Amino acid sequence: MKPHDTLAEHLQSQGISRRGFLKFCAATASMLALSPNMAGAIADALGKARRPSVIWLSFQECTGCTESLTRSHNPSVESLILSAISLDYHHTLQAASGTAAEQAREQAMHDNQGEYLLVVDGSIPTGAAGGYSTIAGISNLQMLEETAKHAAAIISVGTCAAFGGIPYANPNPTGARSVMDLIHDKPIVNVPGCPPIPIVITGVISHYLTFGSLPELDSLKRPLSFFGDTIHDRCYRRPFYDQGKFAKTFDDEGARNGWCLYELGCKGPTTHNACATAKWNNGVSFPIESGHGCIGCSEPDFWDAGSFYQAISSSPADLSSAATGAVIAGAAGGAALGLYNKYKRSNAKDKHYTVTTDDMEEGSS
Amino acid sequence: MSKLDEISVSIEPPASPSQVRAILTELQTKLDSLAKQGITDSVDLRSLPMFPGDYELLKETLGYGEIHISIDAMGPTEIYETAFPGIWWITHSNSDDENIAEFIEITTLPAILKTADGDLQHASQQLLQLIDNDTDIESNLNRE
Repeated sequence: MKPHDTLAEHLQSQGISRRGFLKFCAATASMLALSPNMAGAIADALGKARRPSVIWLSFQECTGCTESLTRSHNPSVESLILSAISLDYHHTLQAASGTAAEQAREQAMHDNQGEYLLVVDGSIPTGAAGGYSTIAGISNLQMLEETAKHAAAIISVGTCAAFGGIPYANPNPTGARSVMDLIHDKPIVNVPGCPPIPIVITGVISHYLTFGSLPELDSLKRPLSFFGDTIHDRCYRRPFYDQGKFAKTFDDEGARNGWCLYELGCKGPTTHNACATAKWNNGVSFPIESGHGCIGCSEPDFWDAGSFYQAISSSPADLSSAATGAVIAGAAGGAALGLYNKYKRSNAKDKHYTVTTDDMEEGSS
Repeated sequence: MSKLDEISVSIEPPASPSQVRAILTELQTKLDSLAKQGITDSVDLRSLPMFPGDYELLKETLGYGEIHISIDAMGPTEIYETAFPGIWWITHSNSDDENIAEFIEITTLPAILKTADGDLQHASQQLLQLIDNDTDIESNLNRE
């Protein structure tokens, strides 16, 4: 693709028809949790979008985030989005290495000053003057600072970049910090998860391509369209919770009947993510559907938040929420609409009781 | 043969609560809006938290109507009208046959089936070129 092609021109040059493009836009609408009726509008906007330069920096990380993205459906929406951007620097994916690789980063920064998107995965070690992790002799901290300086916006991919993640876990020997801890003068979107759901990563990029802006964010800078609800809100086992039917062990009658895993430590009620609807492994299932509670990997400090098998300490009665309304609406016959339009439920979401780490420690002591 | 194989495994069917009735009620409301006000609408099947088995039950309940269409664009798309005219089931797959999006559309004709304006103009020019260039037609005839 030539640098200044629009996405529509690029797809056409690859022999992708108008119907193929519409289909891609319908899938994008689904991905962005927008109404499927928006597909036409997305087609218009994306058709005119110019591809942005993207610089992807990997710091203290396990490459799981990149694996999540590149091992998703292929070829599909995700790979199309990847071809719709100009991925100018990515350690793991680029062919160039050494000096040539660093030149590619500098070139992209120079050519697209103030316009490129910076994607970061991994936390940034600040201990030992940044000496715990260096690339081409440059400390992660220094590389982040110099690359962030002229970026249009930053997408922190994965819990490590967003909140510090596992490197940040107590006792945090490397002095790991998140991107938003260190960069304060740029728009930042956090896409946490260990790893994050691939369509959430590409969803943010396609939102930027479609609307030319970053999506609406919550207080932790996570896109509301994916992180606006808790796992619990969207869990198909939610009706069992409302009926007070809980699995007490992983092999009892309740577990066999697919009852709620709350008492087995499921962090679904306090975890904001899209696993319950976006699912994993090409939509096969998500942890709760496979019989294990949510471990809360898209929340800050999830690694230090006590045992994954310790029930969260708040009383179930406090967890009143949107989905209770949705279940009641469902019983009355409006589930599809009631559950579909996320934005209408923002009021209900505000009533959520968020359990803090302190609460959990109190509960387990 | 390992001892593991000797352990008989039986899968117990779970108790079956269902969201299907609620979804059907919703579809009925949308169908009514289409009939009375001409409002088209759609439901993203991925956005619905369904119990295991609900998807199959919904599909079975809506049944199959007279039209079944396959589109080959960036992988197959299957569209069929359910037994309830105006309710269409649309499954988009990628070229590896993996489901990338699935919708129920409430409309008289799904938008993806219509020929786009841009394609019309392009096709018209292409056809004109073909007519002007006789050798193309002749080579096709010879192939027959």
